[in-house]
Order: sequence, then C-alpha cells, then structure tokens
Amino acid sequence: MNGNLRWYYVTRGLMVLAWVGLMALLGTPREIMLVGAVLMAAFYLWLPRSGRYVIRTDRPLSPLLRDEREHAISSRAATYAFVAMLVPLAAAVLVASLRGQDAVSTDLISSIIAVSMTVWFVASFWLRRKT
Amino acid sequence: MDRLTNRLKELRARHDLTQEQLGWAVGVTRQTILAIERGDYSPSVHLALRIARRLETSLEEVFWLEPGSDRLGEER
Repeated sequence: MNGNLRWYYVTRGLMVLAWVGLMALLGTPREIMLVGAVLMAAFYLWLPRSGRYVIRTDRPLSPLLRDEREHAISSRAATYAFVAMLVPLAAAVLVASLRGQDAVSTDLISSIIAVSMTVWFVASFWLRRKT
Repeated sequence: MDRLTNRLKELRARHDLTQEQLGWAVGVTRQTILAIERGDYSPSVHLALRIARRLETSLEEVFWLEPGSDRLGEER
C-alpha cells in the first residue's frame, strides 16, 4: 500500500512544508510551527489508515475517496449542523428585531457557528458508530 | 416495515474473502462491509449488485426483505 500511495505522501509532505513556509513568513514562533507541522503530518499519515476512505491507486494525487456510506454519514451530519446553525440564527435575528436592534452581535454569530461545527463533529462520530 | 436482511458474512466466508478484500473488490471500506453484515447499513442497489456479482450469485441470494411490522404497528 505504501508504494502505491507514494505520490499521496509526497504531495502531503509538500503541503506541510508549504504551511511551515507560510507560517514562517507570518512570523509564527518555531514551537507552534513545529507542533502544527507534526499534527498535520500525523493527520495525513492517519487518513489512509482511518478506514474512512477507499484507496484508489489509479488516482495517485488524490487516492482517498469516500464510499457511499461515508457520503451518507457526511450528508446527514451536515444537515444536523445546518439545522443547528439556522434555528438559533433565525431566533437571534428575531430577538434582535423585536428589541429594535439593527444587527446581531458577531460574538453571538461566532458562538452559533462554533455550536454548529461541534454538532457536525459529534454527529459524524455518532453516525459512524451507529450506521 | 420490512427489514433488509443478508447473509453476506456466510457467502463472504464461503469465498474465503476478508471484509477488507471484499470491500476493495466492490469499492467500499471494510467498515461499510461490516455495517452491511451487521444490518446497520442498507447498501444502494448499485453496491448490492456489485457485491452479488463479486460473490458470483444473485442479488436475492445475498439480500432479501424480512417481513416486519407495517405502518400501523401490526406484525405480519
């Protein structure tokens, strides 16, 4: 498998190096760059072994594909996250308009987005165990 | 509601295939084969046909509907 995934590892290694270069240009401390690069590399090494992807060696640069079950899980998790974002957002707009406010605070919107992202992660994890 | 049942595990064993090998042959992950065998995931018609073809049998030999309760909650 490793031989077939050579180009995957090469390109992802280059992406890690590009990220390190970008962070260096932005003046990021070395320790943070190192931790970030190690985490990124570990993530890319883990992905083919995660069992979430079908490995297609005829696509050397993007050999990891989701199968139909993974598509179904992602789609349902995205729906849950969308609802988790839309309902509170609509409520926030409604409350703001009832109070005569012109805008919804960015802190509140950030919190709603964070909650919806959390819902997406939790739903993905839960559906993967259940489905 | 009718429940999709299968004897994928038995047929796979008869062909001496691991979940990973069968998954690779039909283009899905080992987890998907496991989920189908456990009855947790109902495959698409396309995938079910690919599985049946790889196991050199008909679709009905691998998958069938098990009568269950209908919408009114009655057992058939």
